[in-house]
Amino acid sequence: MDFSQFNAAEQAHMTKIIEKKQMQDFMKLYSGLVERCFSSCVNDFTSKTLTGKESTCVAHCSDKFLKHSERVGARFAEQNAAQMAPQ
Amino acid sequence: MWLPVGPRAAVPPCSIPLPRVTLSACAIQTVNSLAHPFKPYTLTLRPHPKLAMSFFGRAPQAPSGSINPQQIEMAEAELSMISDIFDRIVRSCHSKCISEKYAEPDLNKGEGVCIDRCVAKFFEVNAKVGERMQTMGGAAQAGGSFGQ
Repeated sequence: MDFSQFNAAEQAHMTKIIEKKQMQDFMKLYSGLVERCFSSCVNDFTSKTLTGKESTCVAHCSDKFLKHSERVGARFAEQNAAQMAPQ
Repeated sequence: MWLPVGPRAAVPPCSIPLPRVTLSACAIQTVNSLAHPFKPYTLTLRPHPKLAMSFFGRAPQAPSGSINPQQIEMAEAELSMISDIFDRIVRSCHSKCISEKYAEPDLNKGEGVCIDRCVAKFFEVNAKVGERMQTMGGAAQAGGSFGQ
């Protein structure tokens, strides 16, 4: 859908929808990341608190995932732009 | 696809009050700043025809000022499809390219290159599968049966 065809009311409506979606995606990203880093980094339950190794692992895990997601987003936009150009 | 609009505004520092059911204005601001790198959709996005698989026709445009529910529905469907594809790409390419060791917080060069190629191949697969489905659909319509 080419949004330039939408009138002002429709555009406002779509803006609201997109904002709501971004919010939901953010929450999903957060909880998904927590679960992902927990399952890959935390496997030792001899203590109640995170070990130093586990803490660094979680930090690396979340940083890496966010950077990965950013890169995928950039390539995604590029690919689409490239594929749309000859149209 | 969704081409990002304009430069990203600087986000004033704030703490993200997560997890919480009600999101503060600060969280909303953070989301909007994050939305650019993580979710490549904004209002001026134009869905890529191949990606969207041209399933959707054009609804008649309503008189200006009113909301055409058909167009809105189609736009919403397209938006959620593209968002879904993005999530799948992130998940698959992460499992294929990034080891679970997490020795360092940055992507190394190999992982970066792997991600680039992964995304490119995913798009190719997407196009190929779309073509196959269209030919199969056409053949099924012509032959009157499915899955031969």
